[in-house]
Amino acid sequence: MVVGSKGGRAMQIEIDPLSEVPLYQQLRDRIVEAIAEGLLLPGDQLTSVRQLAVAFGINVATVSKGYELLRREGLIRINQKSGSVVARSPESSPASAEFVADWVVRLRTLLAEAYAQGVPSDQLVQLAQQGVEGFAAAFEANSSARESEGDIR
Amino acid sequence: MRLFVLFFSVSVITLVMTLMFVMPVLVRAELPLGVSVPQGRVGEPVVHASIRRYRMGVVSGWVLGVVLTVVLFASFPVAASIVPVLIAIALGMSGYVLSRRMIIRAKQNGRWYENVSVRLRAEITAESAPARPPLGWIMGAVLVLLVVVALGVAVYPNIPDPTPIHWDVAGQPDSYAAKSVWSVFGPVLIGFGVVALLFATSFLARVSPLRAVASDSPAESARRSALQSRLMTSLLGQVAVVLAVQIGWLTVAGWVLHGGGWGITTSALPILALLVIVLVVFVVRYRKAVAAWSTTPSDVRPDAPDDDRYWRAGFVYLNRNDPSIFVPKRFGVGWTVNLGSIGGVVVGIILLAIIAGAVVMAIIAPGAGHRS
Repeated sequence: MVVGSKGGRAMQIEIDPLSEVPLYQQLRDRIVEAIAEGLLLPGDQLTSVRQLAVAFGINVATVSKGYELLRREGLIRINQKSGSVVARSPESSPASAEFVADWVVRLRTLLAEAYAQGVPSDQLVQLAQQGVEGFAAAFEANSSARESEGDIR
Repeated sequence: MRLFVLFFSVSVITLVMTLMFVMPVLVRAELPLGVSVPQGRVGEPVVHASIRRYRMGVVSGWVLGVVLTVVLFASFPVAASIVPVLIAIALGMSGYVLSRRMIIRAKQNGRWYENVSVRLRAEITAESAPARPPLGWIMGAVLVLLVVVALGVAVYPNIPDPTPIHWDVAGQPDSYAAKSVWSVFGPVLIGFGVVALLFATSFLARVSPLRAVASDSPAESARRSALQSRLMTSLLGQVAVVLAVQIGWLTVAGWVLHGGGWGITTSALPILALLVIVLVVFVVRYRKAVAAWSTTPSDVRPDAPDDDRYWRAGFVYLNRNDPSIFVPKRFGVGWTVNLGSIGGVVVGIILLAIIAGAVVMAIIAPGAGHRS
């Protein structure tokens, strides 16, 4: 779950230490969601790997692995000097063809999971619709809120 | 003069045991006696019972400490000023270790964490400003010591050679050294060192911020963390001022009253009173801050995970996965070291050496001081 406090200043994320999903994967997933919702915008500075590991009380390597995944996906930039910075937003540029091809493969698995469990197809489509619309609305609201705040970064 | 030992020792025991007694209200409700408990279980009868038992241990530690002081002070004044305090603390601590087991047992038997969703929470953006170091207080402490140095320069010609460098509990000099800049200004230098150490400690709030807890709302946890850091750092600054005044007073009294006497022994009394005031103000403000958010009814939130396994005996933190050198105390105010990290082990050994050294010095120094 991504928890943004009002004003968008302090943004916190939650991970489940007992989940079967590895912690680095959860970390990566929460940050991807925050970028989709406009809670994190290009240029936003992320907490450093060590600081985040200290804040969670988890292994530095775990956080580093999560950030490395995001870097390879082009969502963040890792710079020796300036640390980790959000590199893109839904509005930056259209997705690359390779990304879409790769993502479709994963989407197929995800859809198969629901379909195999008997989720009706119209409900599946409706949920997907709701999800995408939710991201669009959240991104609109969060990014314009940030603009009106007179962001000076 | 021995009556002074009695009074001093009883005051110290009372101060320490009072802090131990009120500690359960200074920690969050989900950590009664430092045991992880889900939000829904904080009201369990066993929780209240174990806190009652812990407090009985603290009270009996206080009683034993006071009785021991009264028995010892006439014949062994030095031992009477240290041993009863240590015994009282040891008794309070064993009460803590034993009574918290009640909660742990009930938690395991009742499977309190079954079907409770737990989360770790942390800030992902580097936005919130860390607490500022208590510069004003530290500068005040330095100013006090500088005034003492100026006074020392003024009275230097009148200081006898050899000069007394240590006084017994009755305020009579029992150790002398050849008069030199070092033997005269040594205590002030130690004072500067102590102030510097406290100043450095105040930076812990930056290095090791308080962890966000999943059961708080984000706004609450940000506020709590900021407030706690601010209160803790300003406490360090105030303690620095009190210690600077204490050291300054003792030093000046040593310079002016060559033969010792009441000026030296009684110096501890107003300082002790000042320290009590500082601590009481801190406890009240801290408690108010904690109470403000503990009672906020919020929507259902996940719990912080059960991390009892990282806290040996409820106060020694050992977590090899945690890169932190310092972590906020489990049951108490301030920080402790992570013995699962190399840095934590090094700092822990240094701290232990300092404490052990101070205790040993306090016990043997008056009798074994170098007499010249």
